[in-house]
Amino acid sequence: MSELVTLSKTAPEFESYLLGTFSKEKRALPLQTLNVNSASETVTFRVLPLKDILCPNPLTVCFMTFKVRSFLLVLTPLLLMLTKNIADGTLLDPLTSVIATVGVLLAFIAVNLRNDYMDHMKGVDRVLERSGSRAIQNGWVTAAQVKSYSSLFLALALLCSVPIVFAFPSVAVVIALSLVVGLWAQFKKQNSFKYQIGGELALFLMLGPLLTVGYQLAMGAHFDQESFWIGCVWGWLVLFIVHLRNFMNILPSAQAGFTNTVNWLGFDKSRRLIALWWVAFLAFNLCYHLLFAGSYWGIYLTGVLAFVSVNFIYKLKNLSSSVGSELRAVFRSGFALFLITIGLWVFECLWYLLD
Amino acid sequence: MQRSVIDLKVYDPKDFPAYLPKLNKLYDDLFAGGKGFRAKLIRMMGANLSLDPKTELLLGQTIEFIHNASLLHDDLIDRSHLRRGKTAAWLKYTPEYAVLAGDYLLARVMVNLSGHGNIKLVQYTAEVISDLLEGEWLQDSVIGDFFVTLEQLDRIHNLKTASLFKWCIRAPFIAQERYDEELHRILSEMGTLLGQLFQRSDDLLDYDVRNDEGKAILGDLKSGYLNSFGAFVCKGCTRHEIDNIVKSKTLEDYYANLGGKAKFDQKLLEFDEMNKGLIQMYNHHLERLKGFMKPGEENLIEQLRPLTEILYWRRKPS
Repeated sequence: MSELVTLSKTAPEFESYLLGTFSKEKRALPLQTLNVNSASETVTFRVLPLKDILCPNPLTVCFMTFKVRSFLLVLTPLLLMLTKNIADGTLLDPLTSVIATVGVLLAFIAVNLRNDYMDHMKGVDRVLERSGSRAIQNGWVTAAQVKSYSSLFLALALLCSVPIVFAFPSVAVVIALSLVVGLWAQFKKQNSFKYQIGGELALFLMLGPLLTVGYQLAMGAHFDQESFWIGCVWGWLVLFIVHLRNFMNILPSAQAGFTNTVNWLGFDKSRRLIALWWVAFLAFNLCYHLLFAGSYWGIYLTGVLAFVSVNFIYKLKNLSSSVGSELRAVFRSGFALFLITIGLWVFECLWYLLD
Repeated sequence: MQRSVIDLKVYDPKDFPAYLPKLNKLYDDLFAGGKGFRAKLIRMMGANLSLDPKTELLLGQTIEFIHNASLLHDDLIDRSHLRRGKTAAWLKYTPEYAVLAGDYLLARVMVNLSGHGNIKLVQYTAEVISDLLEGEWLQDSVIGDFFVTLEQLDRIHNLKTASLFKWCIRAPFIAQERYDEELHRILSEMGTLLGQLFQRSDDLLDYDVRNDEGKAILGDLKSGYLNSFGAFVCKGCTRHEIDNIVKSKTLEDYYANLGGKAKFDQKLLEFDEMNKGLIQMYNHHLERLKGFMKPGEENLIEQLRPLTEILYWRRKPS
């Protein structure tokens, strides 16, 4: 038997309901949030006994909560860096490379969990129906548990960093910089870092150059321009997806008062931004290949990607609504470009490795 | 005393001056067939909150003027030929007059409300008009989109339909200078839910469900608009299935393309079940509202309770 409970931010139980710590036998699923992220925020919860929560099998819960699908965001640059250093013969310490890979994955899980926790508490995932893992909103785990898991994974990631820092002290600078950027983005404004203009820059740095340069150093290689370039190209591509996702949510996020570049620019200018962002990515990717990798690969990749981009640009150009199904079609088309790019890069990496 | 919508025409002597050709006739044509549900809601609220008759008239006029201005513009945008069984204003007079008449109604709303002197009421009303226009704008952008989702339509309906219901139940409190934030949050939630339920029920009429008023069948679908029930039915269908469903010319075609009348009935059952959740939520907020009623106002709760019966189930409360 379920019951409805409405609490405003000023209510003493408000936080315990959001965290899920109000009861050991029940879960409070947020149904409706009003005046999100303001002093007058009000949330209506459906309170259910634990046994009534529809929960998939534990493996699925784990996959969803940890957002395993998003591992692509770190595994791709790691693969690129690994290939580069194997090809260049600069992978000096395989053990620290393995530890760094595990550490990066653990840190990424920690960030994902922390992000889910923050987005739930701040209301982003309660307002945007498709945002986040939905694990907290579906009642599979509580926000408090997610926060604890995040701290645990962060501690494990930092543990992984200890031997690497001892082996290669310069990595400590990159880790410290990442922490500074992460903390700055987290505490700069009230919203989650994904939903503010400065936050996008933080995402670019953390998933881009800081990740690739740090990984390069952790493998025992020296800092070089190429690793920085790879990070920048990858970070740019990640932001393409971020902008695209923000564009898909332009109406609800603007109504809820979440700020990001897309909302700031508005529907029409954002369309142009996304198109230009993709074109700029093609140019950066070509430049990288001309400067550091095989120019034939650069020309081939650019040609293929430009060809498959036509449909995306066409859809984006003809988009006429900020709520209709075309918006999702544009997102799917853009996401397909993202996956095709990764697929082509993997193919390129295999080419270099098997050469 | 029962008041018709026509009686709301004049609040201030300057409303509808005699020297303007066609405007009075256009107004009378438009308002004569209206049920005036929103004005009745204001009246009910006003009676229970002991609102003075002049203010109640102003609020009733405001909501009907805004609603009818939106209809004037809506009919022109949609190129609808009929409104309330009669020739639409843009066709009977001219598109120019229809636009001007709509603008005039909105302008009178602002003149009369600002004359009343409650700036918060003026601001809130302007916000509602803005929401309404945003909703219209967005709705127009999804015409011909048969893959739109219920969640997306809800966002449009919240702006276009629910905003007026919210106004009906919030404005009387604002007019009384009762600004308690918690009270208005509850009223906002209730208004949103009433608006959603009304819209979803109205959308069911298109499929001849509880269609006692004889609304045209599949009118929305034929004009390229997949309404909330249509979107609910199409959820999970393949592109090919949706293509077939939306091509239906008659209800029999629709049933057949969906997979039979039994499947339609099953979908309707699920739709009703989902909306029972909204009704439960409305009743929950109604209980919360009790705490904000002053002595003598408690009856309002019992009068607000059956609104979901009227608006969603389209039946008189038992």
